[in-house]
Amino acid sequence: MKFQKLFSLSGLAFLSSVLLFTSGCRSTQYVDADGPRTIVTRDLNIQDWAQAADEMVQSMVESGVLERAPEQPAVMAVSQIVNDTSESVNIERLTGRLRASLNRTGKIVTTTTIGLGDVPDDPLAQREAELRSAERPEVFWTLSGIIMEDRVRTRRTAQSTYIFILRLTEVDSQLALWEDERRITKQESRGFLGIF
Amino acid sequence: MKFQSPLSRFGILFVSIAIALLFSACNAPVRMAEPADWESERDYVQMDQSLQGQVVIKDVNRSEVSGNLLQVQAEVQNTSRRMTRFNYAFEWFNEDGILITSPPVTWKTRQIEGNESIFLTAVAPNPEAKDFRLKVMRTVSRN
Repeated sequence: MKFQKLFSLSGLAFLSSVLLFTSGCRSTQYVDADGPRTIVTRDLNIQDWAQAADEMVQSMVESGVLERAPEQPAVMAVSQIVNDTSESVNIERLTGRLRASLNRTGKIVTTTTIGLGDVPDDPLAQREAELRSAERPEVFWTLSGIIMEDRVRTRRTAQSTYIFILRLTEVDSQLALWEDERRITKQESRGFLGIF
Repeated sequence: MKFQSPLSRFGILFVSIAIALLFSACNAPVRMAEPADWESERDYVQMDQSLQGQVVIKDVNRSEVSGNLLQVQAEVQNTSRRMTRFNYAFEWFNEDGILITSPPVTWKTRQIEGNESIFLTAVAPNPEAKDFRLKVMRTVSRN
């Protein structure tokens, strides 16, 4: 009798656990993409691209280098930004936000018809400009850079550092008048059982 | 008839509860603390009340960079001895007090060691930004 009671208690607990497991895990909801509730993983997340782009723009503006252009907004073309990380990601995640933020400052405008290797962002605009014999915009700045990754691991903690290096080159002088580096470091610790 | 000992049955019970808790806790997205009570210290700083007594905004300075862009710097001090992580965001307003929605307000995470002071700086997104508000809330990560 005592055994049966214990057995039914165990069964009840097991059933409750299963219910808890199945009801607690499946949940989908909208979150603010720029808010504090986005998921954080050890890889590059959407908030990392935003943070890197925002901090680079802030550094560029604070440096005062943008004032060197005789006419503002000055034209900027995006050159090569190398992705030297293990992640296959579109660099436009960085450059898209950078360009938009720089355009908003009123100090820089970006051209969409001049691109590295004669591959423009907007081929239609380039073709139409050629058909109309439109004057090619005079590029004052070019933006280049590299994104690197450093991964280290101890027995229970794994760490990833993403290093963003960007340079703004003045075309006339061919000098990088602004250059900065930002690092984003994340650590992931294993749980008690070392599974998750 | 041979019965199993009660210990092994309790073992099954313990393991099943542990597995359920493990999956329900570890497989869920990262959650942040509810900013239940925003307390306005000044009209340009909003701080999550759970940070009260641990993190203080010591000073806020404003300046202009690049000719016409508002620059803000806030000094944040951890008054406790424990490391704290928090999220912060700057909101920008035009001269009529209307929120500038482009770019969207972006939250960032910072870590501050015990008794340490750090500076949070931001530059307005465009020359129309004439005022700001700094929001600070505690970060709670299960990682």
